[in-house]
Amino acid sequence: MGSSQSTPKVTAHDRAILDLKLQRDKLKQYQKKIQVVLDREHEIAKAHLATGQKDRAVIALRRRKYQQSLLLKTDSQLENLEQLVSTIEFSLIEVSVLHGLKQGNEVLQEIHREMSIESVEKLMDETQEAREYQREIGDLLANRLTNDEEGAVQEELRALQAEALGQAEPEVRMDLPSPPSSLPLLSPPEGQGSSRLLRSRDPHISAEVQQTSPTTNREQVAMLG
Amino acid sequence: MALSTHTTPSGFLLPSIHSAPPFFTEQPNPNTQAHLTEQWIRLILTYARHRRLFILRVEDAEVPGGDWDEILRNERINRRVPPSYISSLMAGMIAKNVAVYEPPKQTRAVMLYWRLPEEWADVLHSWATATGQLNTILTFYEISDPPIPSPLSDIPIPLLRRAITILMRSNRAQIIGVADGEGVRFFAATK
Amino acid sequence: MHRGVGLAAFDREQVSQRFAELSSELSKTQVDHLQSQLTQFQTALSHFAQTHRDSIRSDPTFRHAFQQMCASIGVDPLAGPRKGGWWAEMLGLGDWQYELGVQIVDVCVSTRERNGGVIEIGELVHMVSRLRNVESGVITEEDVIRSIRTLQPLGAGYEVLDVGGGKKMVRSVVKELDADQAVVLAEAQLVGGRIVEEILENRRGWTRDRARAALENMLLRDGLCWLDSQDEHYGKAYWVPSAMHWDE
Repeated sequence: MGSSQSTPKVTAHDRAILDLKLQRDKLKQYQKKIQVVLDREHEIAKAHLATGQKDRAVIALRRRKYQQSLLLKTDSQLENLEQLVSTIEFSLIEVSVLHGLKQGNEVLQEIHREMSIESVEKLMDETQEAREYQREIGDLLANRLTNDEEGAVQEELRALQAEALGQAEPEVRMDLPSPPSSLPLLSPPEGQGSSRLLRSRDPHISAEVQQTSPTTNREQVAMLG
Repeated sequence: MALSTHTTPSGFLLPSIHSAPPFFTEQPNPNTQAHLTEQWIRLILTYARHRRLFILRVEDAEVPGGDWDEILRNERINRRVPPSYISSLMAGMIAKNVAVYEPPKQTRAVMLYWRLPEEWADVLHSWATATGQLNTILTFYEISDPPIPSPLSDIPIPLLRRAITILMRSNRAQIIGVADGEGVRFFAATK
Repeated sequence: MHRGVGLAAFDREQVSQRFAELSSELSKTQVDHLQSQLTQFQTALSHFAQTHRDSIRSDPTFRHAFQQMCASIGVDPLAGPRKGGWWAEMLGLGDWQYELGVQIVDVCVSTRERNGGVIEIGELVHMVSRLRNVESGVITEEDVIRSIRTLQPLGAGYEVLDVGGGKKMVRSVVKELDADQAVVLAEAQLVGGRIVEEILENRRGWTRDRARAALENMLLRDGLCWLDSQDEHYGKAYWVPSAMHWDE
């Protein structure tokens, strides 16, 4: 039972091919036989010639000629058979290729049906919903965390980002201009001298400092000076 | 007189025991004979593999000029294996499951298993796979007498049939019968 | 002051204690001395072992000289409670001898089916040498004989037989060879293995019956020889495989 299930059924095609091949084998065997006869007749002719029986040798050679013509005939028959066998085998392959193509086509159509505009839109909607759901879960989880834990999470995030950056760093660095090696010369075009120095060093910091505490600003400037 | 190895015209290296005159006589002492039977079986099987011989007949010991002369005869010491001895060596091989009487129900000829049917099954399947003949219908003749020599050239049909039967058990072969004869189709191993 | 009796007794006690101490000290020195001597001896021996171990293992003449030296001072290099004993352990000689023993057993057992358990010592030496992958001459007959002696306690029945004419054979089956069989073995050695009744009649003056009985026993009962029923001269000849020269 199990064997009949997993081995394919023998079709009429299969039997036809087998029949042809068996015929071909028979022809091949026949050819072998004739070849033996040919060789023997040749030997006989030689032997007769050696003993001076010329007419007998001729008879043997005639027989040989006849067998040879048979051999030639079987040759062409064999060729036909072989051709037939390979044609059938090839058409069988063509059939299976066609079958494969047909199946592939069906699958493709099936896929296209699935890919209709409505279903795509529906899918997009569903995706949107899923995304919101995801965000809700995220919020929920975030609220449950203590401040420390949240800090740790942020810390880890930064580490991961740094890592990702670190990997990409070499390429980025190549485009950066090199920092100046000496202090820029002070040539006051406008404004007060004190903040000029700072601004030339780092405009962001100085802006921030100025905004937050103007009193400490002077001390820092003094230190820097 | 030193007993030495000898290389035959077919390029087979005979063991030194082959140049010992008593090697060609069946021994009356069962222990001695058991040892010598073992030597003979090994010699017969390696020689069969060397020459790709599948059938051994009692006749091969009776008349010279056969395929087995190189081991069943030793002209250098003027010894030969008597037919009765070859008969009992055949029985010894059958007892060791390295040969079967072929055809069955006679004791004059054996088919040698220098590869066991299980090993032949593997050889057969690998050959069909390597030559791209899986899922193709093949005749037995096409396998045993292929246009290009193969590891299966000249394999006797009964042995081929055994190998196919083994492959059928694992669903790797299928026999197809028609009025005129039989064919076989091989499949890739299912796994 | 009052001197108590106990004090004198104490003195005496002290003296004897001193003596005891002294004596133990003396014997301790002696033991120490012995110990150091022994250590020295041991060092010397292991030094000897280290320097000559290879020679002992590989050079048959050196090995022979060493064995004789040991014998003359009454030391058996293989004697000892376990394995090869202390000497042997030191020199690694016990292992060598036992290895050889194991290989002798190996050869005897693997050729037993062929020769019925009797092997000519020269062939045994040859096959053991091949097993060890050493050149011929590295292992001598003497080594083999000594190794077989070390196998004796195992009770495997290995024995060296002198079959006359300077020929030695090793028997590895527990089977006594009778005198006639030993003669047959010796004769077979001389002619390369093939033996017929006539040879024994002519050379040994045996009767035909005696010769046949000896040969048939060896053939049928002991498996010590093989039958050849295609002999050119006698139609039937016996071959002693242990006397045949196999060059495999």
